[in-house]
Amino acid sequence: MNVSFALHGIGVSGGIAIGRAQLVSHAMLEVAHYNVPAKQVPAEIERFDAAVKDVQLELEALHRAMTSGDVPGEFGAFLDVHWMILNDPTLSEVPKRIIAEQRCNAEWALTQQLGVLVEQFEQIEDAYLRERKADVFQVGERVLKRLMGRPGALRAASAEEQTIVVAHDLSPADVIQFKHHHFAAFLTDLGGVTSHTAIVARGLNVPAVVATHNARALIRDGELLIVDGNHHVVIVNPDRAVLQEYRLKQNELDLARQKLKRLRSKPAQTIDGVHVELNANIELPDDLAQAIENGAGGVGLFRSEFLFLNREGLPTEDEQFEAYRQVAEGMGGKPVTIRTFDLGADKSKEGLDGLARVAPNPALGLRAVRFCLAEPRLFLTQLRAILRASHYGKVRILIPMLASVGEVDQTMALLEQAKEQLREQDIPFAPDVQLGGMIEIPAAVIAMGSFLRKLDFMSIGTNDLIQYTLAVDRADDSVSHLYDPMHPAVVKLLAMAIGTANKASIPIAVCGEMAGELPMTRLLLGLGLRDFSMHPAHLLNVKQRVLHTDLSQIVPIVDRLKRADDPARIAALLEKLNA
Amino acid sequence: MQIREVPVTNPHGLHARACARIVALASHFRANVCLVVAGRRASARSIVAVMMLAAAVGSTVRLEVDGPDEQAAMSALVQLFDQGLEQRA
Repeated sequence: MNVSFALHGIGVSGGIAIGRAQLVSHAMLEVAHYNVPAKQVPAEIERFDAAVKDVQLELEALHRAMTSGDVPGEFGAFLDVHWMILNDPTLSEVPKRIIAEQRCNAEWALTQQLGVLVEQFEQIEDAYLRERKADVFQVGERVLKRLMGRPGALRAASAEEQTIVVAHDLSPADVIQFKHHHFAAFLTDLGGVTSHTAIVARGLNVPAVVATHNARALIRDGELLIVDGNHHVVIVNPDRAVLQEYRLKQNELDLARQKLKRLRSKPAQTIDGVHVELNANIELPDDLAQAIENGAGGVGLFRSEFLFLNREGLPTEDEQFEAYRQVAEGMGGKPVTIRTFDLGADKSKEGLDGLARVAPNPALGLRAVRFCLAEPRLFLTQLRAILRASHYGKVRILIPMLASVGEVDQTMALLEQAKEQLREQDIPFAPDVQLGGMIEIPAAVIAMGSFLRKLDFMSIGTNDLIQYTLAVDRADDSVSHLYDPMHPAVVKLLAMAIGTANKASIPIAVCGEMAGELPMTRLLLGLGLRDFSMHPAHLLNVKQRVLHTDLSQIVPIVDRLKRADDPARIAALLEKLNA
Repeated sequence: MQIREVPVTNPHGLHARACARIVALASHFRANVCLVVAGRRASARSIVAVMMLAAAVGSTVRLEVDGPDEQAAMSALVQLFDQGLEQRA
């Protein structure tokens, strides 16, 4: 019997999951080195060949799965590269020679050869080409994992046996792959409330506990875990009584979820009859189904930069057009707001090799609209693709991270250029496509008047607005506790932005995480917000809250909260608001 | 043996997918294909070797093709380079 113990972290996505641990790791770190008797060298070589063969079949199976599904052809090309690398003699033959010469185990031989190859890549001057070592490394790692007795592809969890991912940290590229598996929960050593793990877990509606510091080291593969996202706790190897109790709690939560589903087609209206727009944030066209299932009134934020992740090179105009058109058509005339690429900063770490630039302070560097304006060709391609899609539904364009009005002017000039080109080519588009801007920088709130005169609508990105107002990096474990949506300065900026836009009769939405957080719903309503955009998983919860809200009762409380400066008083008023 | 020099024109140089296209194309022919960049040679049988040539945009690749169907192989390769290596092989 394994020892039962508990781990504490930050529960970033609620709910309870019970399942087996699956450790996600970099295999290279754990390679053993031992000598093989001369007699067993042929068997060791055979073991290596078998692992290579297994990975080969695995890649081929993946390729078939891709080509049968609606995955972009580029992903297949990426697999082709891996298949070729696998079959390259430097990877499939040289390690066998090393096994024979050094009489060592296959893992060790492969690790040595990978080291040699990676070192050679390191000497390449061109940064982009140098980074291609990642492909060689990934292929090598797949073979290593095979050799070490664990398959490279994450086995999909079956209904009876739930699987819980345990990792040191997860990158955006990792989590996007997890969307297709049905994992019961996520556990990571690092991370905070707004980390990508958190956002994706909430989106998938599965519990997640992050910042556990050493879960990855303490938990062993296959151990039974209970993850309680509501109480920030993980129980490893629970005894029977604890397990029983958690199964009961889990059932109660499921029942509550079933109840919510009945609200799907009910209009979102407060008790005193004020209508509220509830829209969905999506990342890929695939997310549309979930949005519709949860009764979204439209797409309030299509994070187009996700078309870049997990691929090499840029998506072409046609590929982008296809993705945008699919969403525009899918929503059947309901508004679809496409945010232009928000690249740079945290999202550029992986998968965007061609675009990643090392900046001393990426959050304050070349990202979002700044990046797009610095790469006008890339931007023009995207604007053309969006315009083309506007012919097939009600499409709106949203510019991320505005700081000054010159950025609006430049974007409008490029948009005009894109329209001109399409007209010349006789390609149809909606001539009256609306253009909006994201309020994420305090400067944009303070100088909002200049934007309101030029734009059709505004949208507040609360995650970045909080990060830039408080100068707190939300991904930095050591300061993430200072990231406070209820900081008086944040509340005042929100009040100012919503108030200014309402006065000018320009529609304003909130599309940050805050829009989907239940304790914030009444605060935002009280500040005058009538348009929320959030992950589809939160739509019904928020709708339920709207249905139970009487504006005449909450506005006086929010007015007091707006003026408050003392954190304790703010907390008390927020509690009163949600009582 | 046929020898030709071709420029690398696509912005990312001989990136992984471009290399894959070269290797895939070369595999259709019986001729031996060698790429030479700045004095370093790589057989088109090995994608890793071709990747390690690290031919950036603006560099020149010397194609050496030797074998029974060398003429056809050379013209196919030159065409691929002319298309900026973007055409699927």
